[in-house]
Amino acid sequence: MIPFLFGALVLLLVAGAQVGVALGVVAWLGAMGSGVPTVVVPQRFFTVLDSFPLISAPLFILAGGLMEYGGVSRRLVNFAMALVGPIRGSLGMVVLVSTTMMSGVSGSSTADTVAIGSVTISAMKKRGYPAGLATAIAAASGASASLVPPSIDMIILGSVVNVSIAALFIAGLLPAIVNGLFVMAITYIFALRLGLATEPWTGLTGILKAGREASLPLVMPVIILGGILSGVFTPTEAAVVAVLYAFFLAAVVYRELKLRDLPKIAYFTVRTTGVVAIVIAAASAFAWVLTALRIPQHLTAFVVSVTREPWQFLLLVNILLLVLGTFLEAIPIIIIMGPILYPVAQSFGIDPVHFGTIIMANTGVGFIMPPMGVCLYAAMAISGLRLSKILGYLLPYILGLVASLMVITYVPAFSLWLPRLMIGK
Amino acid sequence: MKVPRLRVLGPAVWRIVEGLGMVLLALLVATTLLQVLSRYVLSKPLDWTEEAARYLFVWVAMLGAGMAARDRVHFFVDLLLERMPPGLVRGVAALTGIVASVFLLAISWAAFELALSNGVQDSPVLTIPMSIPYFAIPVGLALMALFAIGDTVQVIRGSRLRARSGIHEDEEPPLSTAQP
Repeated sequence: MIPFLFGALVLLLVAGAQVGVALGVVAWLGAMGSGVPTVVVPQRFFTVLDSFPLISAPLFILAGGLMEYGGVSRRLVNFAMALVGPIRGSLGMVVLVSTTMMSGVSGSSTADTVAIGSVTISAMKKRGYPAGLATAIAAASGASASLVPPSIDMIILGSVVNVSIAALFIAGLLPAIVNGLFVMAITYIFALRLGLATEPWTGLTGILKAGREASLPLVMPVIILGGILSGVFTPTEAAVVAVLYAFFLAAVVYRELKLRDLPKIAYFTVRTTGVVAIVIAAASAFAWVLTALRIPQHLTAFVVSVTREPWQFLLLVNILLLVLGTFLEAIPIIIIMGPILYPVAQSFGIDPVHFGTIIMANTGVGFIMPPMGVCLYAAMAISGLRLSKILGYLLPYILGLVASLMVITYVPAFSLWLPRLMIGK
Repeated sequence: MKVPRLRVLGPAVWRIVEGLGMVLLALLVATTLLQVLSRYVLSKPLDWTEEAARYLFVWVAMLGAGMAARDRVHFFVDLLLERMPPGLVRGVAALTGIVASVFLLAISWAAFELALSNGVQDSPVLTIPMSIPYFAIPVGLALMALFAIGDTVQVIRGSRLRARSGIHEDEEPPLSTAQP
């Protein structure tokens, strides 16, 4: 049954079926095959969407749209430029730094890639970066920043496996920096080999001036994280505060948001929510069927028969998730594999928050892995480049993020030090 | 590749779907905001906001899924299709389209019956019939089904190489690339 279901899933995906439809079909087949009434599939659609934490998804998407139209991306890019300007290949690093800052406000890595990439990819090309490299840098920055809170994916993980979302949020911060250092190192190597441009050093006054311009958006992550960590608001309520703050910045402070932009942003938000929701709903229906087929128990028995060493188990998990990441998007991986892997991880004595960060770092690599990498798609859509022109530049970044994943996996302190310090978790 | 937007349902219906989606999104933001405010400003927090927000979200999500079907922005993998010879692509696309259409019709119908059967039950706080939030599921799935069928018919007729590809002539540029 299981090989048949996964085989059918891969076949449908390869044949170009929509991800949500493919997951729904195999959930339907799985229910039929195991004698469960198929009405369980639409029932799961409703049950999983009828969730308060998930409301943060449209809210964070909306906040991102408001900030983008409000001129926030540009100010973040200017600030990042003042910080790292004189380093060789600095513009590429600016993309990483400003995507990471943007990610502290928005909850979606695709949105971050689009917001910063649309301002920086053409700028990189003008400064002599090969178009493929510019695209790869924008995509890799989005993937790298996927560990920065707030994150819709972390909210989904927290709600399917019952781990504190606040702890997952704070745990992602240092690993995100590890990711970022790997990406910047690769950009630096490219810059040396290709002799890429440096930007003028504007001095301390330049940093202060650009910093003042960007200070209001940079306050937002502090409000969001601080509010959630101190228990003042739930992630969903933090998201609505983010919407309010983004609107205030865009419409009142910068005055770049126009009234006629609002329907466009609303339309985009509703549509994107629909895209995400169908994948969430169908993946949970499939996950439900897998649970009904007692897959978690079978997997635990199998893994325990293979190894008793936690480090070997984590290596297996990483390989499994990276392979899945080549044909599945982050959300179905989290919803399907989270509940299956967590009990096993627990039996190996792995910290649930650290394990959550490992899962997020894995799906982060998936964001730039063809053919399903959504950050890669987003960057390609902006530059209009075909994959074959990008692949050579992209590969080092994929390997870099895998190396970073290994560091994050085997040095739990990166994930656990901050949560222990700040919420005693 | 530019393809004309597939005409499924009249523009008036779509104006309702889009308008409803955007209005419900606004209500969703307002309700969630009210929840935060009521807890910190009013002495007694409102009890209905959480439930209302959840049901609004289900509707926003499913209407959005229908809109995404029309705009062909649902996730799918086209890397391998791009490498296949055109004749094969057409066959594969027709098959996938038929599977998707049959599945979406079947699940829409199941979701419709499920929503009907929930009419007898009231929600815990708002005490509205549970069929109201439940109906979002068949509506969204049925919109997706309509487009899957329309696309598949086009592929089989040969007026399009494969389902779900290309940009509409009358589509707005994507949000971000519209910015300078």
